[in-house]
Amino acid sequence: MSVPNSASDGPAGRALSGAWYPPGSAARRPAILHSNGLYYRLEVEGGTRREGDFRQVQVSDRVGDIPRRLVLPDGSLFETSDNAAVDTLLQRGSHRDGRGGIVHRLESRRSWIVLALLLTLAVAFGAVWWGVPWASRALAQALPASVNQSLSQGVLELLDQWVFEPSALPDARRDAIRQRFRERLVPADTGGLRYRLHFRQAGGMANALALPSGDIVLTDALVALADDPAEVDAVLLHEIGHVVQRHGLQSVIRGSFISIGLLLVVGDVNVINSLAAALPAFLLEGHHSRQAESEADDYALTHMLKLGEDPEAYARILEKLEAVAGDAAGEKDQARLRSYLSTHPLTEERVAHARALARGAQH
Amino acid sequence: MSGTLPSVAVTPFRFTGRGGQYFRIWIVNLILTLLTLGIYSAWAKVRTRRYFLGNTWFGESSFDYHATPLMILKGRLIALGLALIYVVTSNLWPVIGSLMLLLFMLVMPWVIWRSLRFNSAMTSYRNVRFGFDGRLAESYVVFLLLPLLAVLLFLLPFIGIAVAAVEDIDPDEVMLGTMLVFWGVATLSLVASLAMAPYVHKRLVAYVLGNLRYGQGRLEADLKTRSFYGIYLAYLLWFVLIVTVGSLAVAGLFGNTLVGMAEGVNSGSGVPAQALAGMMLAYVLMLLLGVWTRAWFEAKVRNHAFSQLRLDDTLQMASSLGVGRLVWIHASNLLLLAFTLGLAWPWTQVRLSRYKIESAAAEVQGDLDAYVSQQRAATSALGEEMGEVFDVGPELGF
Repeated sequence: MSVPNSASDGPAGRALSGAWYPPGSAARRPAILHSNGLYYRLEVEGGTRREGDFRQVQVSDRVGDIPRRLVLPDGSLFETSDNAAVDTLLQRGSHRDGRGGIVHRLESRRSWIVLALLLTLAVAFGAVWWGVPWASRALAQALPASVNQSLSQGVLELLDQWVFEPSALPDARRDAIRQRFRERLVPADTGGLRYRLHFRQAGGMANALALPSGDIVLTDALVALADDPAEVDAVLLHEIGHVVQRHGLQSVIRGSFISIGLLLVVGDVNVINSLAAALPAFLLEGHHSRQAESEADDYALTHMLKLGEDPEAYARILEKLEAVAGDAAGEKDQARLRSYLSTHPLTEERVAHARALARGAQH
Repeated sequence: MSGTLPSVAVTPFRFTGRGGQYFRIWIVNLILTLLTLGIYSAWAKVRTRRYFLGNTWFGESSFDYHATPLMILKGRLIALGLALIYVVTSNLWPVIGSLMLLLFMLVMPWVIWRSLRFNSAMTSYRNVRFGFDGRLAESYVVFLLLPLLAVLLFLLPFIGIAVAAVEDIDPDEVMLGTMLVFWGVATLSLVASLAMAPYVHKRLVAYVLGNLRYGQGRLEADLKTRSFYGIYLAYLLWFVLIVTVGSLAVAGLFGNTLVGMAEGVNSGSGVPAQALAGMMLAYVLMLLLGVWTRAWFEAKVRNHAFSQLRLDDTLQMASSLGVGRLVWIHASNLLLLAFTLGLAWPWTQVRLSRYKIESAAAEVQGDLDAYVSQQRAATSALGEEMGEVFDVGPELGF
């Protein structure tokens, strides 16, 4: 900080060349401003002269090297590209508009830029990797159960119309599974949700799915795959795990966060940006989906142990499911690549995890 | 146009922004916005806009932007609140979400009109402010009525089919004459809807550009409906050609594996690698098609609009953007962004602005000295900020 020069210096400190405009007018005249930071004298080509207290002049903030606007007390404007000289004058006169220069000084220092860059990268990574999943999880648990109901409204009806056919299982088999479901598997604390089991067919596909409302669908083909009740329990517990941990709602909240974030960062949502952003968003959602599957696995395995069932049953049914699906595609070597694009973790890993637990339970 | 006046000078626009310099401004904006939980974004916006306008030169002077951050902050907070409410409700209660969307649609023309007025009043060149004189009623015609009409015409045949399905009308029992009339009307309606697009686009550009003011002077945009039809027709021909060649290429290279993939997905076993390559190629081709579409309209519409844009008898605009050059800039910008995780953003913006601005020029036929800023009513930034967050700012296509 330099001390303001004394008045005796006279307005001879600096000469800035630029242009002068009368108030509100486009009539541009070349002009020179003399100032020491305290007083100024403006000489406009063609004779007009103005002078006064430099601290009464309004100076625009510096942005890069764009011209500075100096509005004189009479409303006329002096415009100059001599940014360095203007900065010096502001400093010398301790001008109030000099404070706006802080941001420009940040922008000019290499060390600040590097720091800002690293910090931005860290924040962005942290937000996407930890912040959003954490917030979605917390919000999903905090929202009332009715939200999960409205999220699933009409979904089962829609699936019935387009995908599913009525189950052809014998009533006795269905009743047996239902009874185990109600009496052994549904958690004591339902969290305000209603767990219901539905039997359907889906073109011979062996599958099970859970809606956030607690509606769980089991296909005939999957029931046929299972050789003992524990294997069906394993699948149902996995689906209950999704419901208990509110994975459906979490995914919806994550989607909302990501779309708001994208809107704020890009500021302009057009076809090209959406297409370009679709791929990373897709890969990211795949990651979260695999994580949700692992969590549901853990839930199922923990509760099987609690119920005194052998986690080995979980490994068996997973292997059977993989075998049925694998017949069509085969080619194990592509598994690694698939795992990045898939919504589920690799079956081998899930099976190994279940087996490890099963061994642990025996000892 | 002014062949009788040999003395007029054509002055090019110049852009003096630099990627490295804008990067510093951008990254500081970003980190301060993050550290202040978004509040600084209003200041960031003013700095960004001042950087781009201040580096846009015509003759010896550059443009400037005068909005104060507080004006923008207020609007931004309200808009963000509305956006949050909408995103949450539309995910949880779709019906209320769609009602809100309907309400937003009704308010949108007003928002756009406000933001046009605000932004032009905050922009100056040679100490004189711009202005916008467009009427609110016309904003409703251009941004709501005409697009709505086009959409309704497009949907009409499908509504007819849906009604027939609900009423349980058996197509075999309908008289041949009735059937022919239905399909005739349906086809007409679809064609009319598509044929409206160039006209709607022209009205939109004419509204936004033709109502601009510079001081007391008026900008006139004498746009030709015929030229817009020409631009769209040529686009259609190119589009058909490109899509045909593109899909033949994908089908020829990866056709078999794509069928295999469909089977793989059905059986739940995942996606083989060759099919993935085919999918990636299709994705890249789609991106390129999007880039080309954007470049086409950007160049053609801007060139035509500027050729018809003049300020009183003082100034005649011109623009000479090339579609190929724009495709190259947009496509390479996308690659730059992808490989730098978005950090190349400042350079891509500077590159694009430089090309677009330096392709513009103006013939000065009179004296700019006589222009004087007009008294203006205070405008809050609300309209402008809602335009920003929801991207309803007029999409001029250039």
